[in-house]
Amino acid sequence: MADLLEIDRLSVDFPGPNRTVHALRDIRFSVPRGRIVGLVGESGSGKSTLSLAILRLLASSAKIAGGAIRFDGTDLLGLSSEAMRDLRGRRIAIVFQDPMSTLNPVLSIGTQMIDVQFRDTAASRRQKRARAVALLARVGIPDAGRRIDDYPHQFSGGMRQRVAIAMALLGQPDLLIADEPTTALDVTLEAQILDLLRDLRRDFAGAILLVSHQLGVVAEFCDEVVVLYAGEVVEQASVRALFANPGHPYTRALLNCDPGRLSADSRQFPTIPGQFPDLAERRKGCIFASRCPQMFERCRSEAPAMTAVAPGHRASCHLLAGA
Amino acid sequence: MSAPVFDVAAALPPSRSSVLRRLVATPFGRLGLSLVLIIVIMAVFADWIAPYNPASISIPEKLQAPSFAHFFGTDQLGRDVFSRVVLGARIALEVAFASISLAIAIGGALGLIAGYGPRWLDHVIVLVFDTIRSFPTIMFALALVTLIGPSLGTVILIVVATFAPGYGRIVRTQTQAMKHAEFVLAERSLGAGAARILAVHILPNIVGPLFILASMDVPVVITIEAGLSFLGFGVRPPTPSWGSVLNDGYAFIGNTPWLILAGGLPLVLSTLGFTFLGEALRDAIDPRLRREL
Repeated sequence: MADLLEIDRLSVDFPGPNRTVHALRDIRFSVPRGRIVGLVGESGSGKSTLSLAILRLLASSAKIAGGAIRFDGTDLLGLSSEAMRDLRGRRIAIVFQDPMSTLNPVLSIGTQMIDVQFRDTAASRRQKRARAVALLARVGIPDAGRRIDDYPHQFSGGMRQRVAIAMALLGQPDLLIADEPTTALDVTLEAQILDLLRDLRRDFAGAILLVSHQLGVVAEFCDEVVVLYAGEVVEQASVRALFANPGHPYTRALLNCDPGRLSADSRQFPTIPGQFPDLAERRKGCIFASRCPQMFERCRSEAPAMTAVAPGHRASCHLLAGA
Repeated sequence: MSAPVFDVAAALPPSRSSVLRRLVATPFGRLGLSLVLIIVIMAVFADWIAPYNPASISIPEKLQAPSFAHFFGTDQLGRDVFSRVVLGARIALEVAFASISLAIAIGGALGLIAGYGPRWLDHVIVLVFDTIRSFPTIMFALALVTLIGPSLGTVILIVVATFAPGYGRIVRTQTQAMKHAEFVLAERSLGAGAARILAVHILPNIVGPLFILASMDVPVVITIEAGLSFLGFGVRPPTPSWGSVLNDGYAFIGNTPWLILAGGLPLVLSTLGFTFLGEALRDAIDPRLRREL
């Protein structure tokens, strides 16, 4: 069976008057149907750019420089804007990072959730409302029948994120993109929201692309992981394989920095030495070369290709190619 | 008990009842509201309040001083000035509400399009707004009156044309500010189109300032109507307008000063009333707008 989402050599640029920032370069990975794929990377690695690019909601300053985004076999980049709009919310939906600003402050939750069902012209307002109440109850809003008439400011951050998830699920999408859905929340709420997402899997059969910078979250929640570094995919593997046998030096460095893996008496927080590369520069070699502890001559001159580490596990490093 | 560090209630959008409570909390708010109520009642129940037909001429009774029969006296044609002032309130409010509503509808729609649409369209609409605003109102009015003749419709047209760009600019700026809000992006990610975003999501966010601006424009429009009628470019006689009452009295200012007062006083009081009300409304709904409006 073909993958639900297949990103093929996608590049996104932010052209400027003097320099063009290449935010994403030759991104390749896929999201199989019904699976949860984690997209990890540090700040600035292009995670959010990628999730917006999938929905074709990038700011007008961004330009898709090449590649394809195939969703269920069709290239989203070739669709008319009407056809793309028809997919949004119905087949692909997104939950954004900051629940404080993703709901309209002057409309009640109910008004917004009823309005989102505009495609269903057959249903009455009462039916749409009932559906919204049921979904709010499902995502864990207590007393949903009464709370539905409340305004966003009357909800806490965690509750708002539950509402945002309910809004995204109203259209029963095949793919839910969760763009750092817990980053703006505290740790307790984070666990609750992840539990909710996991729990929703029982009746929501679609695939999830979970964007995160926390390896712990990904390890716990996802089936597969895509590691993004400075706008390039450096590794894709199943969660088990990635954590047991990371193929790319960056992934290894990232795993070493995970606070969850620190021993109790270590006093120094491990970091990855070096600077994040300048994304406006055209570069010949490996993107991670300047910070890689195992860097050798070839890394400076030649970009490594994606190499299979094991079946279903690929990474881009010259060391793997048996150099 | 110590005061809360941050007053949560003040940061929330006010409910309708609390707006009213805050409106009457200040003396100017109370004064404005009462003046406006009096004028509105006068306009709505004009037919019952006016003791005479404001157009009926009775030359023998011309230029009488105020009395119990004629509260504000009679004019040079013997018409009851009080009745004309009462009916004049209706004309004033009719012009104000009709033209401001139309100006908001037209200017607002253009502003939404300019703020949300493509950049070239924004430039075209802003150019149209600026062109209209660069005409002095009176010159513009004279030109229109010459072209289509004086009438109530002409007055409304003049006011709509001069006020629509103002509303358009406010709506445009607010729309532009809101266009990139996260919740608009979230709505787009759920498949909402431009029309839905503008009507359902952006418009409710900007009606507040628009409403305040409109209430503060009412006295300006009333003055424009009276001014045009005074100059003879407004409503046609015998329709009573405060401006035409003023004009009628102007000729006899030396002998019968009450005629001028009868036309001028309601004008002054309604202008004050609507201004106080508008400012109190602004402070009650959103005190932060004090700097902008």
